[in-house]
Amino acid sequence: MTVNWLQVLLLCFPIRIAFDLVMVLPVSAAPSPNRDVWLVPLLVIPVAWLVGAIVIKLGSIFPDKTIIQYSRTLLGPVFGSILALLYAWWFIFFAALGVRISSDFFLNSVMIFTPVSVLMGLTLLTSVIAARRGLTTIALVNQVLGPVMLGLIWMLIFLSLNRLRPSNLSPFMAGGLGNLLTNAVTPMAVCSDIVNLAMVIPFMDNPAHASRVVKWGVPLGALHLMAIVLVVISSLGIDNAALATYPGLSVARRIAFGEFVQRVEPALLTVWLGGVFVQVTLNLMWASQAMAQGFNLRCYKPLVLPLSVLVGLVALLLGENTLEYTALFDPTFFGPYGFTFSLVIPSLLLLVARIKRPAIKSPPETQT
Amino acid sequence: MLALLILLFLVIILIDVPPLLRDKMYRELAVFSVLMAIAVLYSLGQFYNWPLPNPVRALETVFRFQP
Repeated sequence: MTVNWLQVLLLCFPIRIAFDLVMVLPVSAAPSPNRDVWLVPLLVIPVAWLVGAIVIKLGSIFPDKTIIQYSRTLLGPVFGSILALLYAWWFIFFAALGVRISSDFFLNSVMIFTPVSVLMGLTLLTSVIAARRGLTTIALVNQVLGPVMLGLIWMLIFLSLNRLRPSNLSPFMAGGLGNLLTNAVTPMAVCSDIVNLAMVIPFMDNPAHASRVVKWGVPLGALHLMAIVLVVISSLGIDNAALATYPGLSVARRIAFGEFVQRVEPALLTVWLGGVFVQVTLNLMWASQAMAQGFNLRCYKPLVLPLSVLVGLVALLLGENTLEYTALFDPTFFGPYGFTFSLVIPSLLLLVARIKRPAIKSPPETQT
Repeated sequence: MLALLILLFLVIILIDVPPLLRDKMYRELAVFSVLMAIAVLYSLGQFYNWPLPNPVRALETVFRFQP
């Protein structure tokens, strides 16, 4: 069960872009409208690189272990299991967020009479099947989906070009650097989920190539995000973009290229569906693996189904409506929450690894 | 709806439990049972509007920064 670095690269950044294509996180998560948020992806790059560097360093110390497994080695079985539970929650939360956002998106825009539980159930069912198959299957599916998603994203950007109004981007930096930094907190915290690479490194055919994933994946993702934000702000204007629940969909609906290319939303929905499927599947699989490795089980697969039910329940508990759960993207919550899991815990683990390095003796792991 | 929920849980148990028992994977069965118990409790809680603690609100209490 191994994957190469290109497959991991494709697993990392097209999913993030697929999400941002609809939600346009720097715009929708901004506490106040700011037309300079297209610069946010540039601020995301160093933070994601820092998180990636810590994960790669840990991966080089423990090339055959996931973050859960080396937590047990470094902190002992009790604290290791607690950390496993915390990371299982982290993955469940992201899977639930993906399920909820995608279900609400379809409910609000396309399938307005379908019960939300049916949409959630269908999303989770496909993800359960893939998650039980393992990382190689997901990577192979994504090898087909990823380039299609990227192609459609670029087609949408290209078709939007005649709608761009560069005047919507001025005045430049009117809100000041402080406002821009506040707006960058949530995208930084969300994009620092590159920490999840710590669950993949041991399954790479060459763990040393994980650095390539971080080196190329982070800027590629950020530059794509920057292009999307630029298109959204310059075609809608920051006030309309900030008011829209799904700014990306609003842009796609305006696309009209001559008289023959119109109503291109299905392309956007295809990308969105592909992104949601891969994101939910990966997080569901990682949540199951975190639980299995945390409690030293032989196999994670029996945990996938009950955890998928929990993901569906957490998705419902995220909030009564779209407004309530998008409030979770507020920087005062998502900043401390995201950075705790992506930066603080891995940094502490690296510190402990440095201190205990000579004494580390890996206990036999039986995880599959 | 309640019947569908019960059917869903029965299907999950039928898929996962027999192989676990056959292979004597009791540790896996224990974790599976705990997860299923939480899933059943919260599913019924959603259905009957029980006042169960919401983990997302707990998360907000812990992590939300109050400037």
